[in-house]
Order: sequence, then structure tokens, then C-alpha cells
Amino acid sequence: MKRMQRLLDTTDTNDFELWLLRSAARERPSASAVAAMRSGLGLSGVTPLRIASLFSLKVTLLAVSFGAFLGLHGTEPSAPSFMNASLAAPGSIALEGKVNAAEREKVAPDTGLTSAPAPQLPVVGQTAASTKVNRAREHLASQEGAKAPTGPDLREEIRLLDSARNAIQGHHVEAALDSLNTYASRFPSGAFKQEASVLRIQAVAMRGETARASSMAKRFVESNPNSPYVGKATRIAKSPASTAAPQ
Amino acid sequence: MVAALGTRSVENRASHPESVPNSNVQVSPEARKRLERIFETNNEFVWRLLRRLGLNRERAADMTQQAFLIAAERLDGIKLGSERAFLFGTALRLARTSSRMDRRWVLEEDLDLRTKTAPGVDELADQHRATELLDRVLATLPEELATVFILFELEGFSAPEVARFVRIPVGTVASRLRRAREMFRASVARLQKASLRGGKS
Repeated sequence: MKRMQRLLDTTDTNDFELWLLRSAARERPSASAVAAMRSGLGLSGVTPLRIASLFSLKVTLLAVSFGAFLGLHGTEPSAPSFMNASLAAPGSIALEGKVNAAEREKVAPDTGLTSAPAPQLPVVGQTAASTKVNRAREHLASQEGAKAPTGPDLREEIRLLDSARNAIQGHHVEAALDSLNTYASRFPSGAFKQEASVLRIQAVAMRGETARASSMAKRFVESNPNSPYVGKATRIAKSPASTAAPQ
Repeated sequence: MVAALGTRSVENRASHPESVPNSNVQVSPEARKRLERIFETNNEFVWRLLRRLGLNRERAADMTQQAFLIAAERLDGIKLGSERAFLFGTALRLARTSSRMDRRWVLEEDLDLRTKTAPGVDELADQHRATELLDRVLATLPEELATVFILFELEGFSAPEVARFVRIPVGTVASRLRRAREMFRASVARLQKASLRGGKS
């Protein structure tokens, strides 16, 4: 079957559609939101979340007391003993997770991927205040200042990338690389840097330098594991010669 | 933030659901490392997926964390190499429980953006506006079409990868994608029309 092309890679996608499609690739959680998630998961490397951790523990303790008061043991057999164990051994709290009960049920783990049964997550009330903590962080993060490109710059970035893409589709490798070089020199931290990198890899592969393209693609994937272009780069890394040809 | 997973030990009940939970089971360094790697590689993907399915930024962060908590609980049961597919399924289910709250808008309604939707010079600078408009457009697609569109068009997965995630044949991916694109383009055209009408009034 002929490989399908993304709308981003076809010539009949209009500017407005491209603008919308590209906006998604550029969106990512703020650094502080990621830090909060890491902290919540007990992953290392994050420290600014003492407040959130304290809050989380407090909520857990409150919820345990509340659960005991309501006599929820019967309805959620695993939760109380689990939580009590947490209380008994605060130094090795097993899981302070607060997966909302309703959500947990609806997120039935029938992924079909494994035979593993439903996770018996402890049930603790959803916390509005924890959201507040996040909101404050998001706000701070936004103030930290994402350097939004100005309108004309962004338009020029898009023009250069479109030009490179069209050149690649027309087998005009050198013209494509010219556009990409211009892009790299004018916008070293451009909004579409990743897209430009993948186009460059594609152009290099088209020029017949498949080994170089493959190693560039591998480096790209290593440096940008979360990029929406990982799939494309991986395909180029695996088979630079065939992937490079316009489809 | 929704939850916190202890840094030193974690419940391991995925493979023994009926057993009495043993909170003192220590997480092996390998498991911690694996979770770290899964998180590092997939957190943005999961967050963006949730955003495109209609959750706001904060809610998406909360649900991303939920998804990884669930993954952490079931780590032993998740096959190597299937982590992303597992997270996709989990995030999709989380989105279904959340999006009714978050996803209220109708394509052209409540658009103070109406006069600004054309890709004029100033407008292009507004990333937030673009993603909001994109999400409005995606909200017009049925979920089964939206997910295929998001995975293929926005996240850049190949059709066989999408087929594996969604657990449908590749041919079905192609047909859903075709329909999704038609609807996407129709909705974008409506937005642009609304933009022109707004510009005239």
C-alpha cells in the first residue's frame, strides 16, 4: 500500500489549515507542569514541589480519616489497608495516588495489551486545591515568558519551510537545502526548528547521503523523543533511501 | 496535580489483583528507571493527546499524571514496547470522562475571534488562538475519526502505528482518515467563512 502523506506534507493544504495543524506540534506542557507531574509520580530530579507534596500528604491523611469515618472499607477493600499501611510506615508511603473513583472505573484498563487486571488504585477525593497549585505554576510558567515569535517572523518561517518542502517534493534538493540554510541562519531558535530538521534529513537522504541522513535522523530522535516528527525521522533512519523519495 | 507516587516503594498489584496489597514492596531500580523512561518519552504525547481531545491545559496535566499513575500501577503487566499504546488507551478513557466538562464549544459560536481567524500577519503570532481554533475544529469530528486524525496528522504516527494503537485494521485507519480529513476541511472552511462574515459586519 502506498504510504499516506500527512496533510502537512502535501501541497494542497492551504495556509490556514497548515497554521492550525502546526500549532498542535508546537504545544507542550509548561516546564512547571511537567515538574509537577514528575514529582507526583515520585520521579527524581525535581525539587520545587514541596508545597504540593505536603498538600498531597495532607489530603491523603484527611481522606483516610474521612474514609474510615464513612466506613468505606467494605466498598473499597484494598484502599483502607493500603492507606493504613501508608500511615503506619510514613517513610515508605506506597502510593499517595488520588485517582478519582469514577474516573478509575471509566478508565477500565481493557487495553487488550496485557492480561493484567484492573489496577486497584486507592481512592481519595479529587482535589480542587491541587489544581490551584498547578494553575499557579502554569501562570508562573507563562510569565517566565515563552518567546512568541512576532507575526511577520512566523510568516517568514512558514514561507521558508513551505519553500523547502515544495522543493523536496519537486526533487530540487539544493533549493530545499538553500531554504533550510536560510531558515537556520535567520531563525536559529525558530518555532518550526524540528520540522526544518526533518526536512533537512529528508533532503540529505535525497542527495544520496543515506548514511549521513540515517545518523542525523537517529540523533534527531534521541534529542527530541517527544516530537511529533519522531515517526518520520525514525522511518528515515531505518530506510533513508526509500523514505527520502517524495510520495 | 492529582496524585503522588511514593518515591521509595510502590504497590504492585497488577499481576495479583486478589492479594492483599503489600505496601512495603519496594520498587526495583529497574522499574523506577522504566517509569522514568516512559514518562520522559511520552509525557508530551499524552498531554497533547488530551489537549486535542478537548481538555484544557490544567486538566490535561492532571489527566496525564493520572495516566502515568495507572501505568505505574500496571508496569509489570505492560509489554515492553507497548507502553505508548497503553498510555494512549488509558488517556483516551480518561479524556472520555473529562471532555464532557471541558469541551463545550460549537464551531462558530462564541467567537470573538471571528474577525481574527484569517491568517493575517498579526494573527499568525497567536499560538493559543491557533490551538483553540484547531480544537474547535477537532471537536466537530466524532471521536473515532478525531483520534485517527490526531495520531496521524498531528503526532506523525504512521498508519500501521495508528492501527496498532487504536486496534483497527490499517485499511480502517485509511478510511477513517479520509473521512476525518473531509470533515476537518469542511469545518475549517466554515471557520473561514465565519471569519469573513465577521469581518464584514
